[in-house]
Amino acid sequence: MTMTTENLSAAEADKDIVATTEDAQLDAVKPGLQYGGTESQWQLIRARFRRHRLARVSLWIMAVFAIVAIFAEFLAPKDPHDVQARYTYAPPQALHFIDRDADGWRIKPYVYDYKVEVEAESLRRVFRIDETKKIYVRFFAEGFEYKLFGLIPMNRHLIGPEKKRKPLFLIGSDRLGRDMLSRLIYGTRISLSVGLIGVSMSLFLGVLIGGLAGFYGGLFDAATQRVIEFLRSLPTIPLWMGLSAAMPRDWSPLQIYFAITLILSLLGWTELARVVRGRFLALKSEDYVSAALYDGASHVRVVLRHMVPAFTSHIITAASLAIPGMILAETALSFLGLGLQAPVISWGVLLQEAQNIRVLATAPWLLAPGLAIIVAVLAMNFIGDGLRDAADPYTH
Amino acid sequence: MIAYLARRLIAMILTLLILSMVVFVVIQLPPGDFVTSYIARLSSMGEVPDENVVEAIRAQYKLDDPLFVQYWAWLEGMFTGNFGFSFEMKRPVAEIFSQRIGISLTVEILAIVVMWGIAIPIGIYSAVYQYSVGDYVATIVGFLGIAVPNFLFALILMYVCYVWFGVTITGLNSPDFANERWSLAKLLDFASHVWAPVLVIATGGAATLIRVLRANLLDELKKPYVLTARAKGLKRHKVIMRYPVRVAMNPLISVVGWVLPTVISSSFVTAIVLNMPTLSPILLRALLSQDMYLAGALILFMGFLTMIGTLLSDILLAWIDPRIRMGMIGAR
Amino acid sequence: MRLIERGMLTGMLGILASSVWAADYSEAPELAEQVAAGTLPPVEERLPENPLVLEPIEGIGEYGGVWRSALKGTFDNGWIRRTVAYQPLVAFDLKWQKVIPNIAESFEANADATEFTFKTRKGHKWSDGAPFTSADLVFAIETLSHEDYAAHRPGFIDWGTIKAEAIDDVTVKITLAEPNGTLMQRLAAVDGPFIVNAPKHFCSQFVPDHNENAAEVAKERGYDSWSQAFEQICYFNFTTAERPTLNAWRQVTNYDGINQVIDFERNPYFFKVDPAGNQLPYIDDIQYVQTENTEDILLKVINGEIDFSNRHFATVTNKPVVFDGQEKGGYRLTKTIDARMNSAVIQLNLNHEDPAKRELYQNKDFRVALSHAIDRQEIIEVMFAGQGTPHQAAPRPESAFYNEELATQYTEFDPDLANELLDGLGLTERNDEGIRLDSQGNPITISLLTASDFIEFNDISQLLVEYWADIGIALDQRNVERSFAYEHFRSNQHDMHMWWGDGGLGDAILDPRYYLPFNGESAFAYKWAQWFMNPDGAGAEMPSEAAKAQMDLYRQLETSGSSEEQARLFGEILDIAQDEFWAIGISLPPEGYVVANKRLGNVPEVQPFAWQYPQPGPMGTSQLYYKN
Repeated sequence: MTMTTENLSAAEADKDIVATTEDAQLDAVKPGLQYGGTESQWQLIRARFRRHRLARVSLWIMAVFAIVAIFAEFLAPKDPHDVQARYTYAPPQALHFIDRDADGWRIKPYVYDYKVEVEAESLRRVFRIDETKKIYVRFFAEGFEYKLFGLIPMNRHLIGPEKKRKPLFLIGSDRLGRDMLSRLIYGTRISLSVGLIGVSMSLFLGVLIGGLAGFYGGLFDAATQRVIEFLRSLPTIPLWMGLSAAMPRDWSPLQIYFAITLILSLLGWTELARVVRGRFLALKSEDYVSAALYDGASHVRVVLRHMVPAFTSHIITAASLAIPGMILAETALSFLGLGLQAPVISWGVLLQEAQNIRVLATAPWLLAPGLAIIVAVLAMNFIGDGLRDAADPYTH
Repeated sequence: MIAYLARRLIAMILTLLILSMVVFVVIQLPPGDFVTSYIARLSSMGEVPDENVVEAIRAQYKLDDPLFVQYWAWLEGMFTGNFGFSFEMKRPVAEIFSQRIGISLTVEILAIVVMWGIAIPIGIYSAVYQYSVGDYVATIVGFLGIAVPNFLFALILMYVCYVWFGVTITGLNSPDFANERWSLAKLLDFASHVWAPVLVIATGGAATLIRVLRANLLDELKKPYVLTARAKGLKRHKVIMRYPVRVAMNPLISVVGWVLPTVISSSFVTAIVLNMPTLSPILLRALLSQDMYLAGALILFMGFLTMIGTLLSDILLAWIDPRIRMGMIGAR
Repeated sequence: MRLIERGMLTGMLGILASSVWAADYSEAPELAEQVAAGTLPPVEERLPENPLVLEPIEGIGEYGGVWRSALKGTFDNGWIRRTVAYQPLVAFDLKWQKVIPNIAESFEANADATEFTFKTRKGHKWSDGAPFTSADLVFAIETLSHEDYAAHRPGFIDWGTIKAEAIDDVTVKITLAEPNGTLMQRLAAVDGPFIVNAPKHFCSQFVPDHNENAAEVAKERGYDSWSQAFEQICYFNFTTAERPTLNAWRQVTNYDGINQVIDFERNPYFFKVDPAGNQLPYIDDIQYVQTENTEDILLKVINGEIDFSNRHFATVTNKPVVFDGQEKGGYRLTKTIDARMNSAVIQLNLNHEDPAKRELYQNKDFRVALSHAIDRQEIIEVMFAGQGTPHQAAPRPESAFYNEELATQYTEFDPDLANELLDGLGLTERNDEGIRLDSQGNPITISLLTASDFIEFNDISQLLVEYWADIGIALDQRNVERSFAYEHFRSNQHDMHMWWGDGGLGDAILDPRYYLPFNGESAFAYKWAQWFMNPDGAGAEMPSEAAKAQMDLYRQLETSGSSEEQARLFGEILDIAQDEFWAIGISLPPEGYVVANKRLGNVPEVQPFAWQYPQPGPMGTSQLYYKN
């Protein structure tokens, strides 16, 4: 949607970007022309990006998310699929750091064990903190076995209860007594990667199609425009529903995962194509591009060497703004029961399991993935916003 | 202008035709057909469907004919104003449509109006006071709307209203009013329900509008004429409101076309959670039970609505901006 | 026969009781006003000469009030049938132990169960005041058995040979070519009311034999054929409020997917009175709100906007919320005994198209091993908060057909024994992941599609994946749209199917789908079941000897008129089921619950829950009333 603006002011905006690029390239020849230094375009963007405080904070937040996604197995205290029958809907335990006893005190993190009773009448477990029993939390504790990066077999986890089967539910457990924290951590990996891979696919399609349309124009451009217009006029949810429902049911979770990503990006490339096309159209008539062509440079060289650098920042911006859309789309599909499915853990799957009155009323901690989605989507949006502001020449 | 209009209209009809094909194929894609889902539904109630009846239904609805025969029959009917027959609801699609479309459009248009009502002040504010605390707060609030999944927002709203106020906000009318004729009392009752879905849908789309407006206004504010006007002693808010805001609003008009599919999609999920008597729940049911004529007509109709919206905004834009009309720059 | 004799007896008592009160009936104030205004005939004229006297559960009630309830989606006919429209010719009693008179004043069957005679009430009227006579019953049967009728009709009648004959205005004789010992129960069960759903004076316009223009009438109303019109208007649907009825409330709003609230109002011609001579029902109106999702219904329940219901929301998961909401919502909870005998029945496809899988699945030891590997106690703990006991696919302990051996065999959790059994089958080779290899050298992977709208199945399967992985069997479980799961096994592509354990109480004999290959729901042997229904059918396949023996026994059972004989034959069928161990069960489902407004009177504290026994219908919902 935002592309609209950019296309309208595309001509002007691009000129300025191009100017910046040229300046950067010509810095060696004409030092201190406009920005008075030897800063490259990227340095300039970075400098401007820093001024967007929200974007800066968001970048750190996303870095944390990324680390969580990469080291999910190590960070998860428990196996996210491990069912603990006695602890269904266990509330979060408070983590205590200072351990006091008769001998004095020391720093040794622990949580209190639960006392569990079943209320036969209301069919629920009642959890009470049992202050007589402490469960110490160990760093680099032994837990379930896994392969780090799919290679290195390990069984150590950042934190874990001193005894494997002791309850440690820092943000509570779900209806099957599975550790929510571990599930959230695993979900982070899937959800972020859906966003990333989806956007990469969209980016590939968008740049390719948009680029070709913008560069060659004419009939191909017209056809592309119609296709984009067509795709944009579709109400997305029903179309996704149709497509997801059409997936062969005997596919493995991994195949479904990629198919969903593909479906999302099949409809998501149009925005990117639009940006790329607009830039290409504008740049094509630039003198320096013509000059390069007259100089005998090949099309590929002109595109890669002269044109792509001129709009990379815009593409990055558009892409970063597309990621939250992908994450939300995955959630919406899961809500309708058509997205990823258990045993795959994604934020959408976790939320789908939590979207009922029972959870709202008695186990609100199961909404934690909602919080993760909100934070991640906000952060990605701010980063995109900051990038846009940074790449926007008018801010100076 | 007339040539431009004609060009756009022809393009629209062609697009609709392609859409009809795609829609027909997509609704056919899921394995099984109406009869299978019918059987599944009966079985879940503990009933055992009679095999002979199943065959009879299949034959009656020509479900065993080749796809293109079914498609052609459908398209042919479309031209003659016959949008097909809903297997499940046992009535013509057009009839279902006419009974629900008013309420659907009301909710959606209300949502768009509210969306703009939220977005324009916030957008102007955060552009004028870029990087101020107010900008950050406004932006965060605006973005929260986009970041909170619609269904989650609706569900929480529904629950919070129950816990705090002891009311269920689902539906668009209380049961006592649902079958009454429209009156002032019913209108008030309607208003006490409709705010919830409107809020949910509007907040979902507002952030996008905020972002567009903010970026455009930032562009304008940096232009020399603003400086000149300021230098000549015009009051700040007067300068901003008189020129840059108006220019910055221009592209917002064209955004209307793009807002529609978003609004329709988000009202889709919201309507289901909040149990609204709009077309959305009917579409979901139709999709799940593969009631294909109904589902197809509904999706096609939503596509049609979007295209009309786009067309209107394009015409408006062409009317405002002669450069577009003359084909000098693209409409969007 | 005992059932029938008892029915006669109760009928006789009814006659005696009513004659005592005949002179002195009273009615709801709103009706009295209409009578006074001359727009309605007096109550004595509206009631039949011999109204049914309904013995209330608690006591005499008061008139007035609205019963608020909810429907989910456009096809929740089931709930209307359970609440308003269970008004059959003969009915089940509250405890589901016998068949009692209802619309029929009395009934009898001949010894070989081929001739059934029903006597209706003299002066009984439809809700529009038109007389209800034996002609209406004959009309319903003749229309449904019409050779051109191609829509739904009950499957328990051989429509080609059934004959109905009106002896006089109130007497009807139904004659069958083959004996049908279960017919009286079928007529009392959920599909029974078909016979009183079609008022001849209204429905004959859709039938070509009575109206030459029937096809046009159907077209005008948007239906493709006359039989479709008949099914939609005069069978079990509520798409239109036009049809006159014998129910306690008559429909005011069409249930067509468009209207958001479906209203019913008191039927002034209803045929039941309380012992004090007050014409029933006590409650004025019923209001069903049509909603799209269960969460909305749940919210209405805890907000006190539902007066009497257990439809859709009454799950184990929601129990704590509903329990906590009692005070704020102004309701209390009563109990239901689930007629289902299992929380999930796991059926391996014994008719698998792949010969290797078929051989493996048909091996009883393989199924026994899978059963021993399941930690049922853990499932009960996790899923049902500890409620329930391990149980196979077998009738419930409360049932007359309870077979302890069938119910409890192979339920102990013993993975070592399971491993031994599998080793004993020669499945000793394993791949790197520890999955056993079958005779062809392929890892044994069972695929299971569960219906996504029943989260319990998904959760149980997730646990099964772990249990069976421990004995070297891979379960590949997917959550799919319900209709896909059905499509899958109805085309016999499934390895395994999971569904509720229907047929646990009185319905065991009517729907023994898990005890022998019986109908389209017997997923463990779909092709054999096809053979049972029609040996020449497309998907039919000759069953195993044991299954055939069961089928023969069931045929005998059907032709037997005596309930003792039926019970004996059914016991033999279950004995074979015990030897064969067709399907694996998990646990007895926990007690159900019903939400009832605190002010509501005559609510049964305990009632069976089933589809064949459409709870709460058989309690006689017309006796519900609000205490002031």
